[in-house]
Amino acid sequence: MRFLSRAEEIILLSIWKLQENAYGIEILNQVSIASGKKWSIGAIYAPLTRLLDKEYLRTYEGDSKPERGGRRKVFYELTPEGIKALEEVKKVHENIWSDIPAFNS
Amino acid sequence: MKKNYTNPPKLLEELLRRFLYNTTQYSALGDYAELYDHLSSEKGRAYAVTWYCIQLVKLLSTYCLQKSIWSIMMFKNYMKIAFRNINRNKTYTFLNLFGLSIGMAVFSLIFLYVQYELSFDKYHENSDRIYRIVQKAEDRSHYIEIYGSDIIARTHAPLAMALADEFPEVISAVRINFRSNILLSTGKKKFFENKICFADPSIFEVFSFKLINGDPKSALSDPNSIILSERMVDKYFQDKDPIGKVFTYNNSFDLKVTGVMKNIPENSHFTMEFIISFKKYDELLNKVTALWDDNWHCWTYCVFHNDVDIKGFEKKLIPLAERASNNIRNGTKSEFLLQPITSIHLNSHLFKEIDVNSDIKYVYILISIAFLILVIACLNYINLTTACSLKRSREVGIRKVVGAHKRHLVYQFFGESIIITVFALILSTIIFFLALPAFNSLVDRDLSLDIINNSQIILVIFVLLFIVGILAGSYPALFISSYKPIMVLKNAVDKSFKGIKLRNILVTAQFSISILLIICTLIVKEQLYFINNKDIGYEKDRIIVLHLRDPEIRKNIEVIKTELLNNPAILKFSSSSSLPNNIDTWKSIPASVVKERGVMFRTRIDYDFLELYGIEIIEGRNFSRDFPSDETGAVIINETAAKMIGLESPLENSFELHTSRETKKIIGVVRDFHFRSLHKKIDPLYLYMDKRYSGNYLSVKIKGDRITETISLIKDQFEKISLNYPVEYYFFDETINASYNSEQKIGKIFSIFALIAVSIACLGLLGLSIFSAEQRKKEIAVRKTLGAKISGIVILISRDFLRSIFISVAIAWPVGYFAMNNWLQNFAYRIDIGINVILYACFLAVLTAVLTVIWSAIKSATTNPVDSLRYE
Repeated sequence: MRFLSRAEEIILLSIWKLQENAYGIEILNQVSIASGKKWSIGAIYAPLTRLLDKEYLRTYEGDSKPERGGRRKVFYELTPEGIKALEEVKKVHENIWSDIPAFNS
Repeated sequence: MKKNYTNPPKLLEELLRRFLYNTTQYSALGDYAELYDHLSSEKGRAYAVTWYCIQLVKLLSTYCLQKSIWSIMMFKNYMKIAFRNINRNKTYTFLNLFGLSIGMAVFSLIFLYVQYELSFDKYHENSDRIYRIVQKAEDRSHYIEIYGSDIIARTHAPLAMALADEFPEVISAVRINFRSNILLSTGKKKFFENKICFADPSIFEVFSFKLINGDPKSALSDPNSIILSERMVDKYFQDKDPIGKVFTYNNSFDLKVTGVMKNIPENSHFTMEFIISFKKYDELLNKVTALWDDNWHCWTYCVFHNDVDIKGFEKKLIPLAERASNNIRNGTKSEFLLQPITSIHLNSHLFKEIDVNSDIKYVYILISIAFLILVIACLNYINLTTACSLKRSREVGIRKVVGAHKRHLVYQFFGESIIITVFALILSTIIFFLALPAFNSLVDRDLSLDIINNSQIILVIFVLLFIVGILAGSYPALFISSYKPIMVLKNAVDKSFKGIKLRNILVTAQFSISILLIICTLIVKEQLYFINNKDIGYEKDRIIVLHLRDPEIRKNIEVIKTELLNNPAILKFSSSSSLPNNIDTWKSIPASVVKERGVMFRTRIDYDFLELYGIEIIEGRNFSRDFPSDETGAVIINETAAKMIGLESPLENSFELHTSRETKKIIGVVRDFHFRSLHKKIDPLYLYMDKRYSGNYLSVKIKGDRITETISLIKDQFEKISLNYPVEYYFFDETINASYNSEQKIGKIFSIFALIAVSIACLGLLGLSIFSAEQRKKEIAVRKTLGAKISGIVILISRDFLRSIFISVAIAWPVGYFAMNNWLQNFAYRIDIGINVILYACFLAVLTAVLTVIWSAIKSATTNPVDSLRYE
């Protein structure tokens, strides 16, 4: 029973947020904004590939664009399993973050 | 809005593609391209390309890390398994390792030797352009029979200067000659020295001999100068400066030291400790060396410019050769030939060489032995490893089932063989250095492995052996990784028929080689024994030989003789111009005397010679004081000479000697005796006396007891007459043995390497038999329970191996017979290769093999069946 890793969680959520326009660069931007750090493409694609293999994501293709060297854009969207995984993580997060003593900042 | 877009360079893109995950490659490449385009329009092309390259590097490091983590993890596992295996099969691994190391060590030693032999004379700067002039004399074809070659290494004295003056292709030429047994004295030290060279000053232009002290251009300009080697400086002057000091040569004249040269390297075909100017040699011979005549006074060497056509140059020497022969009445017509200096040591066996050269035969023999032994060691390794691998069949099966590719298994087993190879290399290095002194005495050289100077050789040897180890390991690795998992799990691998057949072939090959070596050894030893014990026709025990050099002693030889014979310890006393085993002077005999023109050997003896040496007279009589005419007019011939003359009763006949117009009467015939080594057949010989010349050799037969006392007795008598020369003596039987030096060496080499080969083969056989016994544990146990006797089981196990051995025998003996027959042709007197030698060799091999196999056979035959069948 394996939980999503941090990076995987962030990426899945970003894709869910983006709903429609979720391709590599967009995901990269979202994740960078959300986490405040600048991610590299490789850092995105490693978890992305894993999630694909686990079938939490699926892809669909868009139009081919000349700026991409003639390649089409590849969009990602969540599968039901992906959604379930996110919900699971959310539940765990809520459980573990509830009722903790305050931080002294 | 139409936008200009830029794409990343195709090459970089392609490279990037390789580092991306397969599934998302397309997507990722597009993203990279988009970002590139964006950066390109924002910050410029150069920035974008740089960024792209940085991405490449980032991905590269992750990629490598990923892959290597995987490999590192597997590597750890492989190492663990490898060492566990080594521990579990300690015996096999040890046998394997040991056999391989010995093979490698032997190979390295021989490699060192071969490389050394091939390096002779190559240290000269111009070694590829230095040639020796030799001559092929017309009408001397009988030299081939007598001396082995009709090409003469010595040449006329004026030749060198003619070459240097008249031929622009020649940079410089030098004449050299040698003298030995010269007494050199300086201050209080005097010694007989052997390596005295007379040479022109151009010796330093032709050769690269270095002068430490003194100027090469002027050191030899004065004929009364002498150059010493470092070694001689130590011997005579220790630490003092030798320049300017004076040596006395043979008590006749003085020489001043004008230079010190570095010791001549051992790998030279001639060596010297002193150099004196050739002009002095000229003086000593009353200036006859300026003439073109038949006295070939020196060896001539010259160095050419680059790119000279040697064969063409030889043709240019023809007029020179004609000039030489035209000068002398009845002069020998010769043809001058050029011999590269680097080929002399191994290939030159001409008449009148400076020193006995080695032979390329040795090199060939040793190279073959090196390869054979390495082959045996490798076959061993392959055999044992393959056999052991059967034990690991289950491991291989499971690895394959959990997903290992054949590739991974090959890596794993290759890795193991690399580990073994590395250990073997380390072990072989140790063995190498331990065995080096013994090897040096075996091949009569002083080899050493200077790490600094010979780094190239060390590298070559290591790489070679490493490759050998890999190759040897590749077969088992490939063999093991090809096991099919299903067969493994069904335990059907053990019965692999192909494996057993291959193993037997390898064992057969190993033993064929070993038996071949044993046969060669036995035959060489037999021939040596034959030589040593053959009746040579004269006695050799208890005879002391003294070299007569001192003119004082020569004058008073009769006095010494009478004094010594008074002593009961001295039995007989004789002087002669040669010893019975080294007669090498001869004369042509005209056809009027003999049936066909030929040569007869001859030597001067005295009244007591034949009796001292126990040479039997079969017809007629010895020289006798009762017949005064014996001193000038009589000869004694041997049986072969008698046959050559062809008369019914040679006695009372006389024959005229060529060119001296003396008629000598034949007064006796002696039984043939071997006056040269047994390599040559007995030629015709005549013995005569001549009071004008006193002999070179003194032979003294003594009573066997208290030898040291007798020797000092003789020495005293000599020293009473003259103290000019130290008394030098040696034992006759030792010199006879020395003439078979090369055969003894070959015999020793063969026997040692045969022993090594057999040991390695037996190590292999031992391992295999232990293994095979283990494999058949259950079978044996069942047989025992069903009532088989121990002997039956032993036979069962040994049977397979013995069949291989017998095939080896069948292969080895024809090869051995052929090869040894060839070698025996060198001897005029030789053994016949009888059946018993072959049988003996085969018997030895079979015996060794049987003993090896029997041990493990008996061990397994006597195990309790209960232990073997327990698992069932």
